[in-house]
Amino acid sequence: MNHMVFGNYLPGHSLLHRLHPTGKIIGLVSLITWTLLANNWANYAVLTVVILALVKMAQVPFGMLFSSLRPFVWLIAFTVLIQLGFGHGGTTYWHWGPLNVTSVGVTTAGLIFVRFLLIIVVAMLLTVTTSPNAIAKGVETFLTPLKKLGVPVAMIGIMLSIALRFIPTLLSEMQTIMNAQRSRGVVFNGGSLWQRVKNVLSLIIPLLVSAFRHADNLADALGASGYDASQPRSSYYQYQWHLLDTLALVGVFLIGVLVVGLRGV
Amino acid sequence: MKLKEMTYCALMIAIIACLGLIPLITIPFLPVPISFQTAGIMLAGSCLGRKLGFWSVTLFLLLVAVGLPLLAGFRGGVGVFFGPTAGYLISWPICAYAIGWLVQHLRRVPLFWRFIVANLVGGMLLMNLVGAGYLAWQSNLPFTQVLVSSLVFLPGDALKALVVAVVADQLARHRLLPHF
Repeated sequence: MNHMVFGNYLPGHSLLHRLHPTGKIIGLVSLITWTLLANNWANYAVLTVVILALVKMAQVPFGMLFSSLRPFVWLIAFTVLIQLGFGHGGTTYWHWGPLNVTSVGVTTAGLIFVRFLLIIVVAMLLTVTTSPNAIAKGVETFLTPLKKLGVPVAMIGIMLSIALRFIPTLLSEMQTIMNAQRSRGVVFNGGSLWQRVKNVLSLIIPLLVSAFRHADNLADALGASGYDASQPRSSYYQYQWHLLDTLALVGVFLIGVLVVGLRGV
Repeated sequence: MKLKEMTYCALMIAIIACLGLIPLITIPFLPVPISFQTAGIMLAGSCLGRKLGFWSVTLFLLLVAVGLPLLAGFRGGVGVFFGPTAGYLISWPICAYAIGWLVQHLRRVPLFWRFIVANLVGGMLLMNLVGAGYLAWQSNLPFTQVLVSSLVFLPGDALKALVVAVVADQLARHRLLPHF
């Protein structure tokens, strides 16, 4: 299970890997905005070419690309089918009760399908080329402007890092608890409904107690090591902003200009 | 925010992620398998209170938004926020806050029933109301129709509310719930 949660990260040295994590997050948000602004096939052609080029640049195997889309199959199908079944306008191809399949519905469903795919792939590009801790750091830097609104950005950065650090630990403990309970006769996913509920309880309660114990111990350790949330922090990991990062963002914004220019009414 | 609050908030984020990985329980007569991730949202509100519950769920969604596959079924990325089911995700911080608020304000009620009511009202009902409302708006569907369709989720959510209430009550009895 650990691999599935963090296995998205693909260590490498491609151009995309070496970009600044904050720059990548800004680029990600921008590309998704362009995708949402796009409203005709010329737009989507431009975006598809750009995004596939990025996939190639990141050296992502196409098998990995498809496996990252698999969890979304149901969500995509659900969205597309809703548009197909309840669209309005244009020529009606088929009709039954509240269901209408119309030309506008079909076109809209197609656009939504492409949009969904592009957004999922763009998001995948970030996690494939950036380690989880770099993402946490990037998010913290990305949120820096919120300091002026009183949001405790540095604390958020610490909390994200701690959460990411403890997900594998808790997963491992969950596995240990499940095996310990199995050795005591618990059969997960077997028995009657109430038996299953009791079995889940025998997993959740120890997991929660263990997590709370970690939280207490960690708070004590942080306090003992002199951590003060209200003081400025130095950082072990240093990310340098290079000319390459600037050029990458300029490129992303130029694509945005192109997409807006190609927009229909 | 104190150190203890910070670490509890962080660990709760990890808990919500882990609960999304618990094997699904299928109820024989229902088409929808039960994912325990929403139980994590209920736990956040029940165990940490409204403020920390709200923050832990919000930060969890932030991690999901930047692409980490922490949702049930290993989904993640901003794509999940653009589908018709995004309303359920949007409701999560609100539900955690509501549950924490209800637990705090339901006085003169035995603790177990306080947790039950808070999770049924603030968790189950509020989540499905917001999720159904968003789905109806985003897909141009009649709200009443979507609301009726949402009934299929209620048995599973009620079961989760019961599980969370039992867990929180057990922790409270043994004085293991954190106090800030």
